[in-house]
Amino acid sequence: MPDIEFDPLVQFPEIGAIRSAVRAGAWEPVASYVDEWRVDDPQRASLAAWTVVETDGAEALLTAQPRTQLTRTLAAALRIQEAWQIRGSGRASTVSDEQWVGFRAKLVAAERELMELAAIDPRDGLVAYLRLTSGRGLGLGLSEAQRRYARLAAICPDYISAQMAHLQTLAPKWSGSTELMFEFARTAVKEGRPGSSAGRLVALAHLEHWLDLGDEGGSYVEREEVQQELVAAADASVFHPAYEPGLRWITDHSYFACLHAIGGRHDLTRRHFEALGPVADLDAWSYFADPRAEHDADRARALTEGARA
Amino acid sequence: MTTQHSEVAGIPLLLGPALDGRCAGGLTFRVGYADETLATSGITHLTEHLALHFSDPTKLHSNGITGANTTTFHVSGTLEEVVTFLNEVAAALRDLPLDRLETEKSVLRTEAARRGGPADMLHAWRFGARDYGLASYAELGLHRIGREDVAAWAARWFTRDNAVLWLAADGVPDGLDLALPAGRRHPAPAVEPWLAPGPTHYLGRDGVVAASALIERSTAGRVFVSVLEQALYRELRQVGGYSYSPTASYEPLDRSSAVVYAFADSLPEKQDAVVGGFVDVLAGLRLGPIADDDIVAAVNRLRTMLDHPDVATLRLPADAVDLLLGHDNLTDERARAELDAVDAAAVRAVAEEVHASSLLQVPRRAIDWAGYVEAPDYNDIAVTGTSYRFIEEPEAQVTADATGVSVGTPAGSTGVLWSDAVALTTYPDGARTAIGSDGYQVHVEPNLLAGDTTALVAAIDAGVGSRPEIVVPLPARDPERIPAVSEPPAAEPKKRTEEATGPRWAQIAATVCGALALGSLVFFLWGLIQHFTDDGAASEELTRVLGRGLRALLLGGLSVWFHRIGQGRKPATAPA
Repeated sequence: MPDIEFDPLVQFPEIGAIRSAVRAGAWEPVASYVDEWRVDDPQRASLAAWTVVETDGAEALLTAQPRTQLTRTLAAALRIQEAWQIRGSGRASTVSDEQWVGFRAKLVAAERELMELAAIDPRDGLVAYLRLTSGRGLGLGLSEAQRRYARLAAICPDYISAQMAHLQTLAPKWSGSTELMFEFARTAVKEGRPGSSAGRLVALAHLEHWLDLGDEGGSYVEREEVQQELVAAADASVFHPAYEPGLRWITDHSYFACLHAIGGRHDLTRRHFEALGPVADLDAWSYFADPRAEHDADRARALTEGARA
Repeated sequence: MTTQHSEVAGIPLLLGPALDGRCAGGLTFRVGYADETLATSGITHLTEHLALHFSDPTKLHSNGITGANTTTFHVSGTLEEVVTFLNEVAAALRDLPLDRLETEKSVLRTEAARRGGPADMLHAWRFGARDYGLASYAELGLHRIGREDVAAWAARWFTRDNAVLWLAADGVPDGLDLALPAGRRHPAPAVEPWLAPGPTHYLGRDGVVAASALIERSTAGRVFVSVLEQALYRELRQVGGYSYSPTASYEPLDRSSAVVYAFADSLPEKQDAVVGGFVDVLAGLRLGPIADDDIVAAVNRLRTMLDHPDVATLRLPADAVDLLLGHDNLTDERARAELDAVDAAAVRAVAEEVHASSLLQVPRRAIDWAGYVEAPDYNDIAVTGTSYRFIEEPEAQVTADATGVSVGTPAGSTGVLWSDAVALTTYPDGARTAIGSDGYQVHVEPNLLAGDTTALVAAIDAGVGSRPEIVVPLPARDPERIPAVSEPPAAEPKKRTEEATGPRWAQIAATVCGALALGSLVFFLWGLIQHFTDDGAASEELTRVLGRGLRALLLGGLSVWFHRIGQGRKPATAPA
């Protein structure tokens, strides 16, 4: 198997430049890009924001800058990231009391800033997106999550990172239900821009539901209607003529590949691995204990058995 | 601008034109419930009722209003009707029909059962169990006020020097006989909140988000409230349909202060969005862009009132109140000029002022994440003396000594010092509730405590001994309503919400010791009962809420009051 590149930033040099700038302690490149995207392209801005906060040196870099809408937003994103580091990514039952306290304290710090930033600039899509995640972690309730998403969708439709975040909130494990989660994913595909990334939401919803079923899940993903819905979602999205790869295509294809692979449809998996070439986003496999190994196995099977199908 | 024209019988007169031949008039006094104490609360209202005993509101458009710091008797009709009404009020105030005392008390108790709103606790949390905070409380004084008390109250407050007469009539009519005793003009009670400054919240009933704030009286404040109401309507009603009727209001409190209120109702399944939208709207007015259109619309609304052809008459009652409070009214021209000068910066400045003193009532879930600290569950007063454990909650105990009485729990303590107590209610069966001026209270239900509690009750009675004026004896309770520990103890009810899964003592403490105003709790529970009984489908919820409420009351809180709201209603669950 050829070396697979799992670092999306290699494919997106302008985001990669931000990571380099943070590492070098250079604020100006970060500010000039992200501030522009914050308004024009929140999808790009959110990828950039997570890149900043996941890079060593971000805290020091932000602290050294004057407090602006952007530095405060990125600092809040940092608190959210720290919150989930404290919590861990397991189910609620695996989180200790002490972890909950630390998790909540970080989210409160983030949310207080984000609430003010949203008030200052109600059209700031990046802030609106981050509030979906802080609100979910704080458990502010389903109707509040829906209010926040509605406000965001009114200023930034087809914002896939925000849609993915909201779908998590709508999942039964947070504030929603299976029905709400699927309804949201399917409506986003139906009402979204043709060729948008919303098809990925269908894949995520099936993945969440399969995980939710636990031991009873078994062959759920293998069901024909599930696989057919994934195909239709991919046709409306990554395989649609109007699809613009942008910054999303690696993640989009990776989710479809993962779900088809879980369903044992190596032929359908293969279409996405072929589109991906030597890259992938392991995010879709992150629920597995060893995402890398699962991905490699799925890819190998798809490229061998998938061809025979 | 209404001007003071003259005096009638030594009472300042405000005169405005009659409206299409229809006259109106009123006598307004500078006294209200904020001048009372908890132990005398209701005495102004009682005086007002006694003074109006002669009038028949079904025949005449007349009424009495007891407010925070003013009391008004008003009437509209023919000139003759107005003169007759005012003369009769004055005559009744000179010589109150005290033989009707018990009848009027029972009328007031009936009225109290209908009173109270879903956010009545706002006053108690801000001011405690005194002056302006008494709005949150039942009229406890009705249980101890006697004839002499009412006569003395009327003589002190309902005097010609503490009154303003206002008339909408074409000239001062003949035949007015308003002789009242001389007295003095009393200043309004000082506006001194108990609550520490800074955005604060407490948890209230489902389906309601409410806020109050204390600001300087100003034209910009009125504009702010109008802008706030528009913003709440847009965010909570138009955009999301989360709330049916969000409102905001501006109410002058005394010479220089006003209270801003905002309120939004919702279905319980939408209330989280109402909380979120509410705090976002408040933050938006403080920090965000304010559209000029919103300000123009607000200014125009207020201007419509100023431009009303009958403004000079319509504002008479408010002018009378301001004259008594010592507030300098603006001329109409000045008011218009101030309105025109209000801009986004001025509205934002008021929003900051509102933020600094904002108190929010929200359902179920704390809003520390929005920067509102939670009002304290305990007042941290603990006395030293013999302690008595709760039978069902051995970690909590009641302690009394010569200085006061307190309840201690692992999470904190709340006490009432006799030097600061505003009321001690007593039942013949031994139950006692001490209420401090801060609004925190300690309820002692002897049957729920371990050991021989005779000495505890005796210590409380001895402790309060030097202040008999705060003791309020309550009539004997129906034996079925005297709480007792059930044998064997009922199984622990299944906790249904995450909030309810905290340690049991934390829940008990919150109700034993929280700054729960007596009356408002009655209203609060009354509201819940009505809310849920209005909807037959909500019977499960009724059981849950009443069950929890009853448990809280029995264990610590306020079973004293339960009989008053529970009349004719069997508790939905057995005591745990």
